[in-house]
Amino acid sequence: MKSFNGARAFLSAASHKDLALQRRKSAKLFRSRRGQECARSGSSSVSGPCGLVRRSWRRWLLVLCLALLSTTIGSMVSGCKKASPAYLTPLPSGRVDSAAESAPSQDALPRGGKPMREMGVTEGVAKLRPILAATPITGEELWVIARGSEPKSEAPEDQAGSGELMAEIEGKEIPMPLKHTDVRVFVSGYIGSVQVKQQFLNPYSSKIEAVYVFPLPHNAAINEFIMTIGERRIRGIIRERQEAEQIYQVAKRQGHVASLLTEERPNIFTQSVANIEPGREIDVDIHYFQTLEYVDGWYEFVFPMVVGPRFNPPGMTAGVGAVARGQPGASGQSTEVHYLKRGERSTHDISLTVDVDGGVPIEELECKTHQVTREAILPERISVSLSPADRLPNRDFVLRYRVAGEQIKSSLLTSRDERSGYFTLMLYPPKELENLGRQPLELVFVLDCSGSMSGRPIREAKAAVERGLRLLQPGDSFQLINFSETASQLGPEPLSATPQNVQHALRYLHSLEGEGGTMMLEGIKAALDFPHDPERLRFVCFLTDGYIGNETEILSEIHRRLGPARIFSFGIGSALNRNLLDHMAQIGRGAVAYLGPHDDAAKFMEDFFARISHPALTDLAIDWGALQVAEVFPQQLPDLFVGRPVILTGRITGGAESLIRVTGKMANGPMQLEIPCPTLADSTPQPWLPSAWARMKIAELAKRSLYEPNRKLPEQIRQVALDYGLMSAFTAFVAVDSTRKSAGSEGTTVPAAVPVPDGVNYDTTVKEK
Amino acid sequence: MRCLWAIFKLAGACSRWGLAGLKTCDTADRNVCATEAGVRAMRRGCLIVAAFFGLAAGLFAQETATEEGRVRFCAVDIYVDSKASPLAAYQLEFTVTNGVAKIVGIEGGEHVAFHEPPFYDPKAMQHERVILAAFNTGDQLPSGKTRVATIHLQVTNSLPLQCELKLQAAGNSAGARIAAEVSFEERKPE
Repeated sequence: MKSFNGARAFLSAASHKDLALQRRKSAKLFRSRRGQECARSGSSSVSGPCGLVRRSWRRWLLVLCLALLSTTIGSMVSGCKKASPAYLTPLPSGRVDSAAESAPSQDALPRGGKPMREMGVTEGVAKLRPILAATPITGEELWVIARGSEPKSEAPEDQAGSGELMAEIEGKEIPMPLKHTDVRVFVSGYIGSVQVKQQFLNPYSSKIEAVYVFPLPHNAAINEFIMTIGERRIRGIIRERQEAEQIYQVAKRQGHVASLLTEERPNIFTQSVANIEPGREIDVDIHYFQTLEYVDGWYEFVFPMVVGPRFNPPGMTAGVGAVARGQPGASGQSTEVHYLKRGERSTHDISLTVDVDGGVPIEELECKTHQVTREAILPERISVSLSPADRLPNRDFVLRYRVAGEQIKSSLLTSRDERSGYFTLMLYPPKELENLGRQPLELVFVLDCSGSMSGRPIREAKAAVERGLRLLQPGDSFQLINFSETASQLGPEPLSATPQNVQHALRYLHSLEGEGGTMMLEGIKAALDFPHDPERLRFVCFLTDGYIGNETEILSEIHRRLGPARIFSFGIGSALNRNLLDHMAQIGRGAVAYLGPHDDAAKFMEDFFARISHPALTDLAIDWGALQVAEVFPQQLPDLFVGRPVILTGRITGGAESLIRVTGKMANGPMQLEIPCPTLADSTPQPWLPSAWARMKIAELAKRSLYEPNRKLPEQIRQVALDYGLMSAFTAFVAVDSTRKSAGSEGTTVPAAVPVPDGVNYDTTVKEK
Repeated sequence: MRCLWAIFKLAGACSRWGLAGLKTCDTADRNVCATEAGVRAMRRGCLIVAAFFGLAAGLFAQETATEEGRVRFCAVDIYVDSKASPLAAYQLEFTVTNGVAKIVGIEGGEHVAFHEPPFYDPKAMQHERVILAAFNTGDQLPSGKTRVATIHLQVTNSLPLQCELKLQAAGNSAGARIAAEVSFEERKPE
């Protein structure tokens, strides 16, 4: 009786007359059977056992009908528009043959069609096949006796609207509700202003809700959200998350076109667009500001295109699950990314243009991750576009550029709006640091050997570690730890960097393979728990893709166990969890670096050694002089390494023009930097600066919540986000078109499936039922 | 468990009510009659409990449904009448005064100069008060009465919507203030 499921109940095509006739026939049959039974028992008394049973039957039936009737009335009042068909039929197109064209439409299905949740497409031929055995068939009557009032209470695979478009594909494209993503970036100095347009299209014959889980940079200050329906553009409103979700759900149930943007992780977002009618297109524009990384004279802009498949430790339900397309609920996690299977490709593609304004002539520009075309407009302005041949969104887009002349110097930038004055201070290490030698090191390499690292990533990681081992100096010591389901290490304590020990470590390294889960916590415990040698600087180097769902737990553990160590996180892969890797380095007072599929692993490790071979400026302190500042982020000042500036952002509450003095410790004594401060009156308005400051404050509060049991922190995050109109874990953007209601129910939810990142093994990372 | 215990007690009470039928039985049939009546009473009790829960569930669902049924979405069109002067910039304040509505979207106007959805002040938005501002420095500017924005609202109460609209500033392309009037109108649903 699965077909009696509320969400799938359908009114019979039979007329009321036929129904009444049938009911009368049934009543006669019941009466005649009852008479026979009573005759057999030889009793006609209603108080005898037979009569009792008969009465009970009647009463039970009466009560059952009453209960169901009352429930039905309630649900009809609340949700007569709620029924969610689980039928998806692609709209007829050139690719769909007559079999697909003759497939019943949604309207036709209740009469004689079979509910379809799966559509097979092989060699361009669409095939429809039933998924439930007990589904209404032609001529069969179904009498609606109840309708579920809340579709969400059903099992995940039977959720109203969870019907997923399925496809049997052999190297063919699958129609998806997400058609195209267009990204336009304007870079000026180290600030990127990014406009992302997501084009949703309903390729099916019935209404849908499109859901797309996608990445954005974790430091993105998302401040604009616009939904476009045809020519009309509706600006979304930032609201407290729960409130926004409620507004969206009501609008969805009432048939309004609505969209909702929520944050699942600082770098993972969910876009939901409700009530997209067949053949219609709805666009969503998202705008954000982002600060670029600056390393060794190069500015680096990154746009992530796909969320990598995350591993969630046993018992966790608030993680990010990786499931095969068409299998919602398979991971048991609150957020799920649906991945295309091997050989499949969605119709979704991406276009991207970056306009770089360097301020001074751009000397070099490179993009190793994608094929691009470039156009030099002026010596200081270059426009870069993604090549049409390389539009599959399956890896991070990384663009680097270097400007002419001397390396940048420490500087201060200020801006003012009606709320406050703001500043951003870039501290750049002095050149003197480059001429000094380094202390002996205690290097701990922690290698992620989980399933997501199998193949190319683990090979690259091993090559980098091998180079690192060979670069060790006689006074150094080292340790090699690997983790997947558990952690194991080369020895109980760090080994001296003798040639024999290095050879022994290399043999151990070559034996490692990628398989199993990512119990990173085990690796952290193993790396930070053993006794520290005070004669050496302990650097812990994590080599991982960061594909885990329990980031909070990991970062909290690092904070708790760090001690005197510094953490350097090395991202290995094509679509990394940069949020985790950046925060590991930030909490670990170290630095982060990324090794892409086209980078040289040995060179990558040599650069790292070049960096740590110079002493850092530690224990930084800032004297702001006559300038009055507040809420400067990050609050914990990191060490200053050669080639890597530190950027501080804060509010100016008053004061006058003065010198800012930065002091720090080096191996041979203290050091001081002086930075002139311009007055606020002289400053050019920087519209991005208030948003960037608010985003940093949100990140700082979120970081504090990892290790500080303060219940007010979420409220503080929410308030900052609302005041500055920014996305956060506690706020969301919602937009509703109130002018029009679409006909019919709220439609079927269709998650947009994405490819697994380039170089990631589908079999070892994606969960299938 | 408490709920089960309550059901059990209720069923028991109903059984006692059912056992009242025993009084009418003859002495000879008393044992048989007692058994039958007891079973009947228990069943009657269970039936009543089941009916009670069924009705309660129905009523609860109806209540939720009624609450949601009261929620509706509507659009309010905002007009600026700059008379004969071309309108290049405006700033206005729209407030829902009786607290029955939430702003769920802001749409641009009918004229190409103000087609883009205007910006709003996020801080004011927290009190269902929206300060809208837009400007256009182009040559094609509207004059007379023009719809500059549409505000989409979720009305959460059956009370009539009460709004207030104040023009804070209107200007021409030279940056000078101009005299203008503002008005709003709830759009009829399609």
